[in-house]
Amino acid sequence: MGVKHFSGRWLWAALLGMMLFVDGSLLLVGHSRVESSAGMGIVELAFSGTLTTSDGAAFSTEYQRALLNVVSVRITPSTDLSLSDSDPSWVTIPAPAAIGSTNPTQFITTSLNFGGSGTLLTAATSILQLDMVPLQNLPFFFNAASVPAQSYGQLELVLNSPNGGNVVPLCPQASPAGEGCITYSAALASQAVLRALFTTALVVPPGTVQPLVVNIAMTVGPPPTADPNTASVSISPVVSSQGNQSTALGAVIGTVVNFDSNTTVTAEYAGTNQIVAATKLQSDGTFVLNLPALTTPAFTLYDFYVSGNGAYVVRSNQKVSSQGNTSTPPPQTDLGVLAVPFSTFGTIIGTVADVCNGTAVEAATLKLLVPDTTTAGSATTCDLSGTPPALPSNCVVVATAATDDQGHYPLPSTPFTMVPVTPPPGVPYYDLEISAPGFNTTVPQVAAGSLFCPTSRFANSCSFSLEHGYLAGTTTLSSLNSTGQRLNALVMAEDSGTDKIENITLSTIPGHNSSGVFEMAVPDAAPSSDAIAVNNFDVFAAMQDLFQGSPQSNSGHLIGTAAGVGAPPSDCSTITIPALSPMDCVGLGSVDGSVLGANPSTTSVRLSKNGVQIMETEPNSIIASGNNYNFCAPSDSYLLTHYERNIAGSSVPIALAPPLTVSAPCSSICEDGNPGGTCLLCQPTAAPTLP
Amino acid sequence: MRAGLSLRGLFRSVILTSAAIAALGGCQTGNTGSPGNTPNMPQQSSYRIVGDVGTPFRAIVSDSRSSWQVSGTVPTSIAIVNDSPPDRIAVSKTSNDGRLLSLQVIQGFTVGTLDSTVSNFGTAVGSIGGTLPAFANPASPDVRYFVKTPLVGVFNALIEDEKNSFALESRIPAVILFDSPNGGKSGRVDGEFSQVTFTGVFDVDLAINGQVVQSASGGTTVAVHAGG
Repeated sequence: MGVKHFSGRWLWAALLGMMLFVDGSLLLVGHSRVESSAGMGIVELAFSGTLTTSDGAAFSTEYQRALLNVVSVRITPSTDLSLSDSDPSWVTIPAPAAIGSTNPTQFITTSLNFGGSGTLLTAATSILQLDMVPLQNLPFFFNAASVPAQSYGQLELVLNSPNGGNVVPLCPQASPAGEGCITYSAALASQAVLRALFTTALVVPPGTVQPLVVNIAMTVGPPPTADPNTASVSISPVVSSQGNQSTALGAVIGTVVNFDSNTTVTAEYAGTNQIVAATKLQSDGTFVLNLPALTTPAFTLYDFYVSGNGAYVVRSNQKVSSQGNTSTPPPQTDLGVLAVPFSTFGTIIGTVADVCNGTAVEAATLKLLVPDTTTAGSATTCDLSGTPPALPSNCVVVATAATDDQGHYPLPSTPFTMVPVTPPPGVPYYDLEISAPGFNTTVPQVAAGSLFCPTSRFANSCSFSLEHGYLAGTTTLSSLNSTGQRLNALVMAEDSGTDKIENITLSTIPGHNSSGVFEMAVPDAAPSSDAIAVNNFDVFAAMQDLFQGSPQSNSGHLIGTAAGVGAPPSDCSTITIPALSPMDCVGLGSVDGSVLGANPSTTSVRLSKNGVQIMETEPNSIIASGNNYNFCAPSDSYLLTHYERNIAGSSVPIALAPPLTVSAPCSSICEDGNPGGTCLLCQPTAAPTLP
Repeated sequence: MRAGLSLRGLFRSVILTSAAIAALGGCQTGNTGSPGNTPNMPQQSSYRIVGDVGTPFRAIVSDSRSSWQVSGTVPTSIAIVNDSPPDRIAVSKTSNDGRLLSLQVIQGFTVGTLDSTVSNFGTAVGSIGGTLPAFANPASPDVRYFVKTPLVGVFNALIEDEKNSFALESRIPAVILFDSPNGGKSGRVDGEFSQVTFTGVFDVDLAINGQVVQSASGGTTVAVHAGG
């Protein structure tokens, strides 16, 4: 999107511009596609990857993140690696840019959207920012495209220019060095290889779907020797692919009966509404989904649902494994015969409002839930159960909606406008999980037939007022803010003793002050019976720091914390909590270590301060081969804890080394660290192994 | 080996840039400025919140005069009209899951900065046009347009106060933030929206200080206004 300024009312110019744009677009359409008289096939593209460093050290001991900015992948029948960039034989598979398109049979789609590309007057190219760290464990679905049915000889990875990627190094272990734990631009080294021949040709017969996994083996150069305004980090991605033979994906098969051309099978990570892939059916009702999965004997859990022409059919918590580098492939995950019961369709409609003032709740998430009843003794509804109340583990999210700026849902042509009025056999009604930051999550029932909610505040709809209280507090410094600028801190409230964050707000410490106030909505302790209470919160805050004028994700100010502050006792009540611990500027630090027996899908490490969990390793980021993890955090004392499936294991205390003071000219993560023209240069810390 | 736009893409960009400049009266190369003798404006900037569709977020968007909090779900485009750079943005997921949220800060044809997160309530940050040390005070008045449907459609808009007009083009859904209309004083604001290609019924809201003051829905063109 872009904005042009018109002083006065020179509409003719805008209209002419639009006409030229439309004309130009029409003229250019067709140049971006290669047609084939032999028909078309589908290529579904995923990435896998490995990360190494040029000095041989483990990646996670030197770097926190490495991201590649991927524009597209191109394939061509040619095996000439010096083929011209403008050769017409190139076929482009771009970053996913749209949703809601009508796809041919067995076309795999994902839920990703990276914006529009190329059709707007001022449109930038769609770019996928590919995180290389988790990619080492789990392939990432990129996109699928209709391509001419033929045999392809090579592929090419197209990166954004001039910004091909970003790297975040840990604190430097040697000098000269630039600051660590901040973002640097990545520079393509001469060793980078972005074109590769297929070892076996990628054959795409007409009307078929062919998986294609592109492996990116990336070597990251030495840590930077200066700050980001003068230094970058070299990267050498080397691409390769086996052609149609993919060992990085796990296969899921099944047969749907009572289907039609609208029938779709959707896969999402178990217990979530994160759609990984969806596919139509072959003419005989069979389907094959090739899904990102951990290497056997490890597995990735998926939920599946069939939708589109009748009642939902769901399967929960299905194990999917890939072959990876093992000698024999794991068995395919067979969902068996999935019979679609008859049902007509209706719409679930309503509004979501704030119980305290009646205002609209914008961007609330609504998930329609159906239990998988195929396992004997499993729950037949998705009502909250247990203590504390939770959804049964066999529930599958079959549709998701979000409220608009007026609290209304659904938008036209979204899944809530085509809900089967009849739930699956044995399921008496649907459940609807409604959540929004700062509110008690509520799970009302949706009646079969009418698709109305019996507890709705308005008849003939599913309209609800979400409950909450308020939490008020203070962010502090030990002394007056002498930076001359206001300091902004993001304050987060989470369920005490967990990493489940409930809401976020901004607190500002003005110049020449030592504190800033905040108030945020949070779930309360005594909501109605179909809502989830929260009895105790932990609160923490992170300052939003700049380095050389660029915002940074990692803060050089102490993390402010307050543990176990309680919760609002009732709807709309307010609790005032003690001031958060001081958030003085101390500079950055980093810690790296290993955790024994890591399983990428179940293991995480969390960093806590004063009993408040403040950071967690990203999903699938701990590499099983090295079991390594790291954190960037302000120099301070913390507790590191090993978690398996969200259950705490062993812990070790850790003190992050204080930064070195370096002389001007220099840059620093926070102004307080710059008295007398000196700066803070962060230092690394090694953690003991976490059992 | 190649990193970047293909020659075809470059050619296409040149054509479209030329079209834009021609449409605006042939003003300064490299800047879609204003016609006639009116002064140049800073190069255009906007934001795209992309990634896993449906991921909820809350963004704090600021230029040097005003800041806004914007809630929405992926994908959403955000633009500031009457922008006063430098700009800064922090986008936080508001869900506890591993879905991807990616922030694209766009200036003209170029993605200036990119940042991404998959963490619980993870935050992606970006800036453009220089250093903005801190977020500005909340916008007053807070004037914003919500273009909600048709999803994935493309629209042109003319956003106006009593002295200036701003044309923009975007993909739906989009939030348009109008910084300091009428110099921050009371007065009329309006917006005219038209679809490049009809893909469904328009649904547009105009909200001032958190209250929806006018909504419009219809075919290829709609208008909303307030204050006069």
